[in-house]
Amino acid sequence: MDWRPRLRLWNMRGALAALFSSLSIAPGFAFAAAETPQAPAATAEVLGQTQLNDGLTLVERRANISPSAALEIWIRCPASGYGASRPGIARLAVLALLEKKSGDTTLRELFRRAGAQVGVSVYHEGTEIAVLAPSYQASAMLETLAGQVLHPRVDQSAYLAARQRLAAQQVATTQVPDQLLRDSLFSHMFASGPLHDPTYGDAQTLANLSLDDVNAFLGRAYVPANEIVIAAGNVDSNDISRRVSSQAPPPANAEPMPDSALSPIGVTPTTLQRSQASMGGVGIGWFGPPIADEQASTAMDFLSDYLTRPGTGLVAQAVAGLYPTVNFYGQFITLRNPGVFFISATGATLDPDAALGTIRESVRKAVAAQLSKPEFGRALDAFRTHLLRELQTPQQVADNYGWYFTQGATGYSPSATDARLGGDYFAQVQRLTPAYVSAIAKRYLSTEPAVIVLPRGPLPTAVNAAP
Amino acid sequence: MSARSCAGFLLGACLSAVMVAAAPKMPASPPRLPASPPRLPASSFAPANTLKLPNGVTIVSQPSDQSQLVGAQIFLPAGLQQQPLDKAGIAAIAAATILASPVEGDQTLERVAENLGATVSYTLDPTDTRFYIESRASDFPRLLHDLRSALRNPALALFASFQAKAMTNANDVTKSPLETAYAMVRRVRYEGTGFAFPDAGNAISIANVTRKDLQTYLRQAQRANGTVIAVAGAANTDVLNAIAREFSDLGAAAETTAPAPRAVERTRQIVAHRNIPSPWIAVAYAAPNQYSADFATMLVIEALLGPGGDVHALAFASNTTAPMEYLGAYYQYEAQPGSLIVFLDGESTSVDQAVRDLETGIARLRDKNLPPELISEAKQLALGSYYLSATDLNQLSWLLGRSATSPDGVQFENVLPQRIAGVSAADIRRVAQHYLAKETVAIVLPQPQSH
Repeated sequence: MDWRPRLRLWNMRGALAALFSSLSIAPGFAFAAAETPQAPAATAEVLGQTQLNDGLTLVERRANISPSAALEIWIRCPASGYGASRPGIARLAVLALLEKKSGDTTLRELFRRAGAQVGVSVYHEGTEIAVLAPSYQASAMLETLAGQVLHPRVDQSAYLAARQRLAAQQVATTQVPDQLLRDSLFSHMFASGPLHDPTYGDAQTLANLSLDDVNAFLGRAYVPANEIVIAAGNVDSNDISRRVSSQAPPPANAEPMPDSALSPIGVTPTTLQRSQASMGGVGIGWFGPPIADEQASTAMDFLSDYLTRPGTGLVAQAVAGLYPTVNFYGQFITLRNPGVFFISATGATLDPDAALGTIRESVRKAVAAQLSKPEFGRALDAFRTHLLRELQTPQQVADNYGWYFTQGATGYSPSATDARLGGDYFAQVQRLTPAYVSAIAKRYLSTEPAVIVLPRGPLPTAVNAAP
Repeated sequence: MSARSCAGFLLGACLSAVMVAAAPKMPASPPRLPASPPRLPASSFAPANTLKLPNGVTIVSQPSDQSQLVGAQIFLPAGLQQQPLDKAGIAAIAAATILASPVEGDQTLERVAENLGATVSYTLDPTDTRFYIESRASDFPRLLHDLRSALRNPALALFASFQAKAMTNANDVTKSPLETAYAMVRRVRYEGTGFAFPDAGNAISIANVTRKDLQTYLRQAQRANGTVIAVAGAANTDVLNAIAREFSDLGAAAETTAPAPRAVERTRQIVAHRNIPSPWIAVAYAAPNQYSADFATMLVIEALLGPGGDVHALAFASNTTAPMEYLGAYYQYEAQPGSLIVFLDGESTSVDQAVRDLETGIARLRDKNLPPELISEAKQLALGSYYLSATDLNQLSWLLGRSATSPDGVQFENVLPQRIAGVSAADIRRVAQHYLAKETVAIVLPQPQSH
C-alpha cells in the first residue's frame, strides 16, 4: 500500500503524448474529434532534465528550503504486463525488487533504518519507487536505489516475500470503496489493455505468476528509455548526476505501451454486488481530451479545480450540502488518449442515487453557463495558487515529473516551472479564456458518463463484482 | 472492572510493533550505504532572520526566492493550558470565531482566503493558538490585514452557534477510544491546567463560557509579548512590512501565565468503557519539553519505542479531522511539562501482557546501556523523523516559530540535529531513569454488554 497521501490534483495526471493512434476505439463509440490544440507543442528543453547516453532520463531540481529530498525512479510500463494481460505483474515486480536482500537486509529496510521512508505506487501505465530522505543522506541513497532498480533481477526469496505482501494488499484494497469505484470505472471505460485492469490484480492471477515471469517483466520494462530518475529538494546536483551516471545500465530497446481500447458507454449505471457491510458510493467518469491536446487538458484541469476541489468546488459543495461527512474526490486524470474526468463520493449514510443525481445536476448547470470574465479571472488565479500550493514539497515536485514522464510529456509537467511561473504548463494556463473553457466543458462533460454504483451494504469481492 | 480482572480475556495488539521497534538489529555490514552515516551539515536549514518590533512582537523569516508562495504562522500566546479551568473549550470557540468573522463586507476571513486559492486555518497548541496563512506573496498583506481585522472585531454575534458546535464536537470526541484514552492521560498529568481537558472542552465547561468571556479571552490573547510571527517561502520586503504594520499596535497586556499542573506522585491506572470492539490503552510518562536539555535524548528514546506520528498528530485544528487510530509512541513536547505516551490497542494480545511488555522495554532503557548499533540506528531514525517533518511551508514555518522562542533562538533548528547525533547510551539511561518512572495507564474497554 502507498505510505503517504497522494496529491489531489496531480497524482494521476499526465501530459502530452502524441499517441492518438495508440488507442483502438471500440465499434459504436462516438467520441468527439480531437481538439485542435491552440498552443504550441511542448518545449524541447525541460527544466532540470538531462538525458544520459543510454536513454535514461535524469531530473534534478534543487530547492534548499527543506532539509529533505525526494528520490524517485519512475518506470513507464503496463501494470498488467506485455502480451496476454496479467494484472498485478508490475506491482509484484516492484515489491520483489524492494524485498531483494543484499547481505541480510532488503532495500526497504536499509533505507528505513537510515531514517528515510520508502514507498511504491503502481499506476496503469507507470510504476513509481519513491524514497524520502534527509538531505545529508540523499546522494548515497540515490546511488544505492539506482544500483538496485536500474539493474533489476530478483531471487526466489524476494519473489516469495513480494507475493505475500501483494496478497495482503489485494485483500486490503477490497475494503477501500474509492479504490473499488475507480478500478471498476476504468474497467468499464476501457475494454482492454493496461487501463482496463486493476493494478492490484487478483488472487488467481497472482497464483499463476512465477519468479521467471517477474524477472522477464523486469527485463522488458525496466530499460533506460522507460525510466526517469528524479532528485528534488535539498540535493547536490553535481553529486547526484555523477552517482546516477555511475549506476546507469547499458542501452536496451524499449517496447511501446500496449493499447487500451475504449468501451462504449451505456446509459444504465453499473451496480456492484456486495458481500460484507460498508459504505455506499458512486463513481462517475467522462472521457476527456488526450494529453497531446495540452490546451484542452489544461482547461479540464481548471474545470476539475473549479468543480471538484473539496470545500470550494461547485460540485463538491453540492454533494457536501447533501452529505456533510461525505468522502468526495474529483480530478481530471491526464492520460495519453483519452484523459478521464473522474468523480467519486462515498459515505456511510450516502444514498448513491441521490448523490449521483446531485453530481450530474451540478455538472450540467456548470456546463450550461459560461463563467463571467471577473469570476473566471478570480477562479483562474485561485487555480494557479492551488497549483503552487500542491507543488511545494520535494515529493510533490518529483511526483509530477514522474507522472508526466510515464505519459510521454515531461515538458508539460507543472513541476517544470520556476518562481516566475515559466514553463509549458503555466503558459497553457495563461492562455485559457472563459469561452474556451466553456467550449471544452460542453464538449467533454455533456456526454454520457460511465457510472458505477456501490449500494450501501456489504462490499463486493473480486469474485462477485459484476458488470 | 479493572484491567487486571480482564487478564486473559481482552486482546492486545500494537505492542508487537512497539517491541519490534524497540529491538532493531543492524546488519554486520549494511549493503551499499556507508557503514557510518555521512556527517551532519552545520546548517540544515536555510538562513533565518529575526526582527523584534518595539512593542515586543517577534518576526522571524526564512526567505526563499524559489517560489511565489509564502506560509506564515501567527503564534498568539493563548493556548489550551492557559484556558480558565472551568471554561475549557473557549480556545476552540475563539479560534473558530475568528475564521468566521466578516472581514470584507459580508465575506468571512475563511471565504476571502478560499476565493484567492489560499488558506487560513488554526491549530490549538498547549501554549498558543496558531493561525496559519498560506498564499501567494502578493495576496499575503491583504489576508494578514483581514486576520487582524477579525481579531480586532470578532463576530461575537456567532457565539451561540459556535458554542453549540463545540458541544457537538466535545460529545463526538467522547465516542473515540483514542481520544478518550488521551483525555484520561491528560486529566491526570495536567491537573490544574486547561490542558487537563479535551481540546474541545467538555459539556460542562463549554456551557460555562459566555459571550463576555469570549470577548475577554480574545482581548487577552492579543498581546505583544509572546506573539511570534514566523514566515517561510517568498518572505519578501512587502510581506515583512505587512507583518510589522499589522502587529505594531499590539499592546503589552498583562501576561497570563499558564498554571503549573499538579505533580504526578504515583503510578495510576484508570479505566473507562466505550462502545468499541477491542480495548485501547495509553501508557504515559513524564518527558522533557522541547526546550529542555534532555529533549534530543527523549527524541531518540521515542525512536526506540516506535513513534506513531508527530507532535501535531493529535492536535485540534480547523483543517483536519481527529484521527481515529494512533498506535505507537506519541511525544507531546509542546506542553509544559512534556509527556511521552505509548498507545496500544488490544486486538491480539491481553491488556496485561501489552502493558507488561512495554514496561519491560522501558525497564531495559532505564537499567542497561543499550548496544551502540541499536543507539546508532535509533539516532538515524530520530534524525530522519526530524528532517522529514519539515517539507512544506506549514511545517517549516512552525519549526521556525518554535525555534525563535527557544533559548537558542533561530539556530535551534540547526542545533537540534547535532544534539541528536551526540546522544550517548549513558544519556538514554539517565533520561529514562529520570522521566520514565511514574506511569499513568489509561485503559478504554468495550462496554460490558458488547462482550
